[in-house]
Amino acid sequence: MNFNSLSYAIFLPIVFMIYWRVPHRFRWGLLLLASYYFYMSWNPQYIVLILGTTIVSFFAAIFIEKYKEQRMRKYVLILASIVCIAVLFFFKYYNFFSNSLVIVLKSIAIDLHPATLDVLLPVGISFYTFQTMSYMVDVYRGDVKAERHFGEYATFISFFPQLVAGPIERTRNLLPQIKSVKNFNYEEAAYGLRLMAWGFFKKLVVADNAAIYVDAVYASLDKCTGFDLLTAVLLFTFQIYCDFSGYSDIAIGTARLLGIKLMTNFKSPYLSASLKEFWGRWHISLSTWFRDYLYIPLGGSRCSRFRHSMNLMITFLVSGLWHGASWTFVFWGGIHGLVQVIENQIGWNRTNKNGLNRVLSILSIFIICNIAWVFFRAETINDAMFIIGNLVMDLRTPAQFLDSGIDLHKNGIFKVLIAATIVMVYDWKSLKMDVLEYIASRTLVVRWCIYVLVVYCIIFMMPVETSSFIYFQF
Amino acid sequence: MRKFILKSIIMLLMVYIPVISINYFVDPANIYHDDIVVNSAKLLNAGNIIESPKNMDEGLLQVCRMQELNYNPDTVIIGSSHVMYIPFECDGMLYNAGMSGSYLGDYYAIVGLLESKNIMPKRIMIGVDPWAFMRSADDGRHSRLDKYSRFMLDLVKDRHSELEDIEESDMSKLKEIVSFSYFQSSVARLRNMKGDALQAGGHIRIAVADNAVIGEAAKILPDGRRIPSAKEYHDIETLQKEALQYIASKRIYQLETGFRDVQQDNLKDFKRLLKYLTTRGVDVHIYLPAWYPSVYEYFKDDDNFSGVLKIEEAIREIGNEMNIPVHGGYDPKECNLTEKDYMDWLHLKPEKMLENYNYIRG
Repeated sequence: MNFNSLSYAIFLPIVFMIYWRVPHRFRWGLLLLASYYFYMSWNPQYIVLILGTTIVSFFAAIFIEKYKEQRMRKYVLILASIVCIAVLFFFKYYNFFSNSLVIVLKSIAIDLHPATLDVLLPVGISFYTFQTMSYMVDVYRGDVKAERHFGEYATFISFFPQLVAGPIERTRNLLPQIKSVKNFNYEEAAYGLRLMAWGFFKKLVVADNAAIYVDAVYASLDKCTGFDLLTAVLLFTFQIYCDFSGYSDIAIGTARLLGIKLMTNFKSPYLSASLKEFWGRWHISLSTWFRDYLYIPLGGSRCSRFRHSMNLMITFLVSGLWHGASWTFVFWGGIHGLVQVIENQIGWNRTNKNGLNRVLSILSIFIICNIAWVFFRAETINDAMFIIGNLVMDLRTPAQFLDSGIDLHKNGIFKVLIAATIVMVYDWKSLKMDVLEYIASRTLVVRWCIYVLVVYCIIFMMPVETSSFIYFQF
Repeated sequence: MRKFILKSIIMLLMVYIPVISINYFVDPANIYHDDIVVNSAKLLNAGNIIESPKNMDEGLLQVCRMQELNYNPDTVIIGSSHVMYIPFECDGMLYNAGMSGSYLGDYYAIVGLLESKNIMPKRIMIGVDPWAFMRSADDGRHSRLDKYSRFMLDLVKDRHSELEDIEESDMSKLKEIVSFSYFQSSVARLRNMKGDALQAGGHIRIAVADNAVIGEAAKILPDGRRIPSAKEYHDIETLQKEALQYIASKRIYQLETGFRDVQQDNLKDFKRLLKYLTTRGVDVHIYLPAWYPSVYEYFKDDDNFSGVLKIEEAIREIGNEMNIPVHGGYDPKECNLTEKDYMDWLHLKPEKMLENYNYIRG
């Protein structure tokens, strides 16, 4: 059940109506049922996995809290984490590591043929696995108390708006909200709807239209001109941002309808003046997760320069791997890690950037992100290198571009670029104010004109066939 | 909360009232206005050749035609557009019931129609496309025929059912009237045809053709066969480009993003249909239409489309098992077909379709 599907459009109002009608003590039950139904609409069998992960982490946290002996607490935490990661490893990484091992062994003349698994990746497994692990670690550290109510805990893990593609929520933020008594708040619900509309605009108008051209180019690279490649690289930068942030907006907006505030996941990332700043603005729930549960435990920046650089590289390589079981994702993560190491070495983040300095910094980071995204999107590293190597080859004028290369939806590209510009203007304004609150403060006529305009933009400009969200594959 | 719900409903109405109205009145696919189809059927049954109206409900056309068909066909052709154009010549009277993109459910529906009208022929040829088994036997592409497919499914499973008792489901009509993609098509038609688009059905006049020669417009013959228009014949460069575009998008007509495994339940239902026909003395032939060469090579290379190759083998096995001749083959090389034998990336030229049909492996 995608957010942009008819079934979700029927599912959500039903859940919303019942949720605000039932007494508070039954709401966790309704949310849990709705969340499991939502998850099972993807593949019913995989409910066993999320339930299993929930049960293991629930009891592990209780044991961790119960045991006074530090060593035993650590063993339980490690064991439970291994179980959760093992499930993730089995479904997501087994074939990748197995194939990589075969290649390595072949290079030293050892011929191995391990069995490969033909299993479908359970939707959202990377997200809910990280969410359960952060819960267990937080209990171990004493930051939160172990939850004793299994139903409320299960709801926290499986909360449907953020279940399949985040934000990866922290126990401190989401669990108390699930437990707390809430009354319907008109402003919160209206804000939620506005945010959902904006999310759909980004997803359906920008991301899905960009995808048509990007997919065509990446599927036949050798038939593309440099201009095709350059356009596809630029479009993908907006596609991935609008797809993922659009999903997050819809998820956060949905949660607001139910009186729950999820964490912000994106804060105008393409207006960052450094990669360090970028990662404070992009997929914030994941970057803070890696900061708190990997980077800082490794030593963070409170160690030698060399160790600090190693910690950054490890964190970003693992982050790359989290995104996908392929060396292209690892390479992508590696680029981000390396650039941040260089930023630290040259003191890029030490000076405050203003005016032209800031604009140039933002442009530089935007270009670096574009190049890194090539590895994220390409099927192989060779393809990525081909694209980068040919970006400035065989460039043509825009008029020639329209008559050459991949002959698909060239007029649609201008539509995407205009919509992407609107997104960037929104992001720029968001640096100083909450744009949706600003709209809410306008007169009734202005507000409703904007709402109708956005909805009709979506209806007119969305492609006939829309795609599922990119981050679902993680 | 009441205020919130009320405002949400008002917003929904502001969006959907124009969408529903324009979808209904412009109706680019003539879903809500049947006059075109009814009149086309009358003309064809009276022995006229007509210029094929665009976006006609082909399922409804079959219903209207068979209700008033003035002959009992000896041979009926069932399948997708891969069979529509085949210039068969056979003993007795022929009726071509080909419909674009037909699934298994549509095969069931046509047989159900024949059974319900008591005009089961001596011979049936079914053009089987690999996408046919992606939906169940009661879920064809042409929703107007749903009740006939359900009726036929009951018959093959020995469940007694009367056609009159089977309710017609109009869910697809309901879905399209609120559909945003249908709205986009409606608006596009409004822009192209301006005021005329709002005359329900009136903007399409059914023209009777003088002959069956390939001309400006596509034609339908009284026996149901289609004659393509001249512009449907593409040159080789265009063919290559078209095929490349679809391969690049990794979405192939009706197959979407492909499938890896044969849908066994649906295959079983196909066997049931064949068994039903053969035990009633119908001479059944199966035809596997050849794919465009580079598209077939893509199927061989991309694991996501491995199901296509598996379907062919499964159909051939069924043919052997049930002693049913299997004509043609999905692999164009096997039938000595090349790019120049195609009129577009999906269809052979009509005369080549016949050649493809006449090929039997081994």
